[in-house]
Amino acid sequence: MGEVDPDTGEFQVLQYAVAVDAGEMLHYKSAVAPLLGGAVMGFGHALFEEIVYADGQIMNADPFQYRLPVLKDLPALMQTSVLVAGDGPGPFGSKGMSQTTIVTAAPAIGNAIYDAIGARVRSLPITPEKILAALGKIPAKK
Amino acid sequence: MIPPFKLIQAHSTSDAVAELQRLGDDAKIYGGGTELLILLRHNLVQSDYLIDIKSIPELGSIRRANGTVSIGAAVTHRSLETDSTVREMLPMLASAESQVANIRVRSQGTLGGNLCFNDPHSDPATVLLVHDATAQVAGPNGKRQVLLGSFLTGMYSTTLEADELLLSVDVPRLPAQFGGSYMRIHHLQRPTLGVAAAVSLRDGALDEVRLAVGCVGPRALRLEELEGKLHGAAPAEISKIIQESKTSLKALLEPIDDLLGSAEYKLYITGVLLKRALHEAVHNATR
Repeated sequence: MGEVDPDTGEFQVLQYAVAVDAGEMLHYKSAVAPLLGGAVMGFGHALFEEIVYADGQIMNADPFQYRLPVLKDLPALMQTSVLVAGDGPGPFGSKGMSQTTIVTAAPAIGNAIYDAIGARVRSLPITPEKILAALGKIPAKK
Repeated sequence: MIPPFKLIQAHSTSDAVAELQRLGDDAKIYGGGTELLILLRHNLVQSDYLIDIKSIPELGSIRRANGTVSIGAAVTHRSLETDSTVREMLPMLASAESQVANIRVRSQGTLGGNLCFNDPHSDPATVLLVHDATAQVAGPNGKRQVLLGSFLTGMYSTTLEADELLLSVDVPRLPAQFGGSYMRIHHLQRPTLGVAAAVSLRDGALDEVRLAVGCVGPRALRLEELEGKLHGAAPAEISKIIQESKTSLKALLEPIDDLLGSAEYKLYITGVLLKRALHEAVHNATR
């Protein structure tokens, strides 16, 4: 669940939940931490991270210009659900899981924004500028 | 790597000015170093001598005289954020300072350094312009004072000569009946946009209006034309007047496309934040 400021295009994730089919897990905390960490990395892909080139040069090759998720980008509530059915091909019926939550962040956030404003942003990262363009408030970038 | 340099400890402002005069372009003033060290490391600035002014007591003090706060050039952002005099007399500045970069930079970086470097993407200058602040400068021929709006001449440039030192910034508090507001938008390390507004009201309409915009243009600027148009307007007309001023705002601010966004985007959010800051300032004026 997220919140969009329709005037500035600013977006904030309010609640975030991940559900993962682990097959089997041996240690709850060790299993859940990378799920949350992966989700936060996914926020970066969804909302901020982009390598910008101009004339063959990278324009943002330092942390001043290349934005990663920071604490204020995280929602107050993040939840994790892990399915344990012992039906995987790995030891004790386990499956690969770890940071699989990275890949679902962008579609989840894209859908949350669509739910909030009724308009689709179809390229990553979803910046406030693209949200304003999707709302028709500024011209879309070529 | 930062090329080797010699660090000179200045013990008084006249000491610092004498060193500047002796060494000329080979020397740079070293305050917090948050901007300077980056430039030195990337070889964008070369300097054989750094003159450290942090231990000059006069430059590190915040003094109150009548309705004005005199802020020494070496006062850190963190001090301005937390100082009781600043919070009481210049709440808009304290609020803007609390949002500068991160706490490590605020604890190290100084107001004087910030203004002399004059990176267009900066918070304090925008607020200080609305306060009609004055810069006190010392040089070989004595002291001079210059309105901050004239001190800041363009992107990374000021009227400061190579042998001059910024001593302090004198900031008059807003007159009693004024309300103020500072708002910003911030995605990367430096802000994308900062807007400061201060207004007084007469019979429910806007009387005196002061507006400044930072980060979008080559330097922080007062919006005198828009201020004039808003004089005498009802708060309900703010939105329409700003909408009608888009063309002149564009000509004044000259926004460009860069990593922080397109010129169109910057101009649009400038309008949004101007409206919001004005409404909040009106709210604060009527409180």
